[in-house]
Amino acid sequence: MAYSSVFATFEGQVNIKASLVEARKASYAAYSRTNGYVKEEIGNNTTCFAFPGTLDSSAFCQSETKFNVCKINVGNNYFKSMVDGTTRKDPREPALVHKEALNKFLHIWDGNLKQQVVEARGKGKTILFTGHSIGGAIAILATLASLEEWGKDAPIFGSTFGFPLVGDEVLARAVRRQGWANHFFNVVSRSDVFARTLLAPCVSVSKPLESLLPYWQRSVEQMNDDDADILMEPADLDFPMYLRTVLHHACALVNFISATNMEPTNKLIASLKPMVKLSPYRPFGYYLFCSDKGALCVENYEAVLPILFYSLATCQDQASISDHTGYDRVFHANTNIVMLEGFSKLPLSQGASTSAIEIQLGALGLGIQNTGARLALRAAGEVEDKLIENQNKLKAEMVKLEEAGHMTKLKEYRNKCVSHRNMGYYDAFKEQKESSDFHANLNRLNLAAFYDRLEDMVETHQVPDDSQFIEDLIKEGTEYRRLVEPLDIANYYRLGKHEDSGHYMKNARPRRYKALEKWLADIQLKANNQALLHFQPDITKDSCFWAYVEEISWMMSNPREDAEAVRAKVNKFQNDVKQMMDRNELRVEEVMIGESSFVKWWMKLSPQDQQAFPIYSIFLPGRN
Amino acid sequence: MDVDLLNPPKFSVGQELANFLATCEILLKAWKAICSISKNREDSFLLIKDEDVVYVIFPSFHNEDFIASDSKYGECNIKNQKIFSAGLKGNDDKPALVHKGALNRFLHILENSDFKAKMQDLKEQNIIFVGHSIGGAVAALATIWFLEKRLRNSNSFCITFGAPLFGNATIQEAIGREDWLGRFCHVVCKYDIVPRMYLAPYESIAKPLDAIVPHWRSKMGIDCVDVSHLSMSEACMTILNNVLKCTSTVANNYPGVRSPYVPIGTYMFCSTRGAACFEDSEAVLKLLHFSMQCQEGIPFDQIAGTCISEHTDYGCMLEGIDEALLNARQFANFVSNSSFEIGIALELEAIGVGAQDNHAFFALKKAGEAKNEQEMNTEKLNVKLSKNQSHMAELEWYKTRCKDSNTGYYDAFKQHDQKKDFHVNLARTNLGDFWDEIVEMEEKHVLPSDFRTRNKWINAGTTYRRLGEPLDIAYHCRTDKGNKSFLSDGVRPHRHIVLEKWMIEKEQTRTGRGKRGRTNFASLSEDSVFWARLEEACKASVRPQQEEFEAYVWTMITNKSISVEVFLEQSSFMKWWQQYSQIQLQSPQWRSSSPLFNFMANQSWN
Repeated sequence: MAYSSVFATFEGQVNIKASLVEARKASYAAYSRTNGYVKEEIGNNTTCFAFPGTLDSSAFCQSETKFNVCKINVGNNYFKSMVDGTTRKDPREPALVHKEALNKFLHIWDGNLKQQVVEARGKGKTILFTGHSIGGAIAILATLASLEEWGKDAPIFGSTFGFPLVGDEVLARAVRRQGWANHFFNVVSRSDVFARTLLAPCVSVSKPLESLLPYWQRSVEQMNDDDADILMEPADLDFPMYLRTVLHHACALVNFISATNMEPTNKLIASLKPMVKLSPYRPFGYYLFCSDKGALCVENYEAVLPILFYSLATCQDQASISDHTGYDRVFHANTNIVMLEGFSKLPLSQGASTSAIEIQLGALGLGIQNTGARLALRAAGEVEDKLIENQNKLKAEMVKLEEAGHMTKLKEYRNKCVSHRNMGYYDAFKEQKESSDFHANLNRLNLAAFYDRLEDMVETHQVPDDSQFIEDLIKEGTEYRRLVEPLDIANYYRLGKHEDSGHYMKNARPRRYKALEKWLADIQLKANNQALLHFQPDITKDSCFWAYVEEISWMMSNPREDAEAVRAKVNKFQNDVKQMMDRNELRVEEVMIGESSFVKWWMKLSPQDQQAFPIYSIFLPGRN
Repeated sequence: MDVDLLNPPKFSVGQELANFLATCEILLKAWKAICSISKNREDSFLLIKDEDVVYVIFPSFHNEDFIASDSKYGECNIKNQKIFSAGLKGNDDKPALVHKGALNRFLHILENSDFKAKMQDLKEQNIIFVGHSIGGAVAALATIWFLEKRLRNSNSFCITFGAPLFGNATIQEAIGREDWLGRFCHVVCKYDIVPRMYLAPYESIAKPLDAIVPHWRSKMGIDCVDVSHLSMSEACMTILNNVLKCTSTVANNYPGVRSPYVPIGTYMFCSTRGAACFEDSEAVLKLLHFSMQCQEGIPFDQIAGTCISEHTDYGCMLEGIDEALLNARQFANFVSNSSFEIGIALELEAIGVGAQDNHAFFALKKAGEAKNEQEMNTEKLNVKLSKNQSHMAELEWYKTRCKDSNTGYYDAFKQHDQKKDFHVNLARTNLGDFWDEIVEMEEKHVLPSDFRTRNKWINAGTTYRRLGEPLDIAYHCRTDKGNKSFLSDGVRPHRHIVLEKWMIEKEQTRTGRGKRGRTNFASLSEDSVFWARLEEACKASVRPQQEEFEAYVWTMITNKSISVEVFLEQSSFMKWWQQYSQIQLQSPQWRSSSPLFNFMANQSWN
């Protein structure tokens, strides 16, 4: 997450500030069109699609859910990868997004926008989606749908003005996991209350928004029209009350998040979590927080919500209705953008310097006098540091494991079982007769300890979401799974654990293997990686093969099993094995050697069955 | 503040927790619900549903419950009642004490209302038990009662306002062991007298309370009585004086008789400047004193008045905090670059004690460090545990190999005549050291309070004990010169005794999930001291003792909790059996009546 460098990369491709300034203009201009968006060319190579923030308040506020969210896959199939990434939950839940934004997006996208984007892409254009107010949320969804189509390396960007949140934590993590986060730019004015409105339940702000939403819409429309009359502020509006309501809910959420960041294991927080329904919206991408001194650019997503709260809370008296529509004033070609990094090292009580960063922080109300806010930012920084630290630790462990040569030794063990003992390593390990079996077990344990930790770290989000590490490791991980999982299965059935706890596949398969298998599938899906899909290792591809053999053997000798069910299973298993054979996914020399568990299973079949499934002639043609 | 910290945590989270609680609305909802309990519900409870949460509200019970007079501090043993489980005891099995007034009130509600039936309907929901004053103590007992049902899909929490301390260190230990401490949140106004009241003996507070309670009743809208101003203010001063004497004894660790009560759960202290949460029991005990202490410039009688008035003022207090928080500038007037220290300073500022109070500051610092040390120790042990897997594998391997020589690993190790026996001894001592260390750390309280009930450690400890203890017994038999008994002469290593206790206690809390009957013999005997019992039976000259052993073996066989290796030809057990059955066969009834004889004669283990 060395973000300044990422920022610079795109800075090279597109001039970000200039593009964002144009995007802002286009967003405002979009209000005067009626077909839902405008298309504008910026320079020679960028096509900009801008969405206005037109929405009536009843649609925005009246909702069955407290925060007006729905699943992102409702009524469409555009966001396949925007799901919960943890493999412990199955099936994976789709992300939640703002319901009205999704409705509006689908309406426009399915109208003719999608076609327009395809054309622009066809001409090799950079695509920039943008929007003011709720239009920003539409822009984000359009960007997501396009990235889903063209992948993370495509020059497709989304920007928002005054509407920095659109979906829940699942969405934010999915975006980072896909490596898309640096395609999003959210511009937020310090004193824009509406930019924080999703932090409060809809019903608590429905009254003020009834008059505010039409007012803001008209005031942007009038900006495009020089002759318009001066717009009167809504009369029956209690703006300070609206501000306080939003701040109140933001305060609860931000303190909840800070407490979690500071002490992830806190028991009180864990007990209360299911009791309180806080806003589910979470940030992703870059954030530019604008004040009268410039804009502070932030990528640390844990810091975004605290800054949203503290920067507004410290300027309550100056916040006004017009701040939501005042982005032309706070963000323009002369705006000085400063990148904030190193959150965990922010000074707390000493060394308040007059650096560019401190000036920006001070202008946002996050100066050295606001100790509470500074602690929240430091906590956000620690989270980020910890993720990197964990990842580095895992990398170092991985190196150590390789040095210790556990995999090499296990491969030797596998070969020697065949050459010296005339048996597959599965059955040899199950016997546990020779000291090489014991040493194989030690190697198995060492590897298991590492992969267990890895699985836990990844599944509980203790490494960066966009960690390249997992992708780099998947080849080793898959090799490990295919080589070592048979030993786990052998161990399980050797100790008769299925008697106590049921069969391996259903009840006992370690999470590390499930995760490794799922990660491989994810990566193949994401990268369309045909190379990985087809890599044919010199080992049985399905690492659970022996578990099927054990389960079916056990069922056949257990009189309590239903005969028909067993029959069906036997047939299915025979078919599966034939298929594996056809696809060359089975290592015959291990499966058919001596009296392997597989051969023993076959011996149990009735003579007719054996004839129908003549393994010797199938597997070892030419012999027998 | 230049004291070296050994293991300072990165942050102190008390301020953020309190800010969250103050603005997330459940506190205000809970308080409003208390105020809504009308006069006629004064002695019972109320259910209120809100969004996905059910609030179970207990009123103030400003009546005779306050003063329980049959013991010095009103405490009594919770065990006398059948309502709570036997598991509510200390790590050293000492009894749990709670305030008798609160306990009686809870029992009264349990027996004389539809409380049980209503709770039955509420499973699978989020429940918050709420109470004010002594009702808070009742709510806490209700929460414990509910948690002990161990319903898998329900979530419960307890919020109290101005509640007195209700239980002793023993019950705190029991709650900590179950990992329930995070389910209790006690809101305390800076000056409210009630939360510290039971630190004083009942006789020193009973009389002033007579004058004060009617005043509170009218404040809470239960009665409408005029309380004479003069008698009130005198009562206020008396009670504050008496309570302060006791809190200062406690806070400064002066010697003398102490009240048995300790804070249990998280305390949220509130002042006009803000709020902060603290979970360390010792630190909270000190803060109960420091925050009420008289400050320069404020006359004593004014503080005395506030001590009484704040008890019924939680609504205003919470609204004031909410107001203060939205201004969002919390400035620590304190110089440090450590987030942890600055965090503590902010907490002390918020509760109106001030970071300059060294006693309070260091108490909190120490508490934070101690907690952090527990976390770090756990992490270290996790790493060590996975390293020790290789020693366990060595024991397993040894056991597997011995089976082939027809003796079993217990007897092989007892003979100790091969190289492999020497090797496995290294693994045995390494594992012994590892588990000794864990048990010692747990006893020194440098591990989290719920460590010994965590499944991971229970399972690892049990596996180790069943595999490793037979070797310890064999080692003792081989080296013992003084003819000492493994079981009764204090030879059995402390770690095994403790690990067994942890497992038994944990099993008592595993309700609902009945133990699955075995179909095959266990691969390790469930009773890890089987061999010691055998050795003792071998030595025993009297028949009843031998017969007792026979019965014991038969029970193990019937529930298949014995390892089949016991029946290997050359094992000590088989040798005992040969001798024993020879003697027993002299009496003809035995042969026909002994199921074990039948079993052995038929070799039914095969």
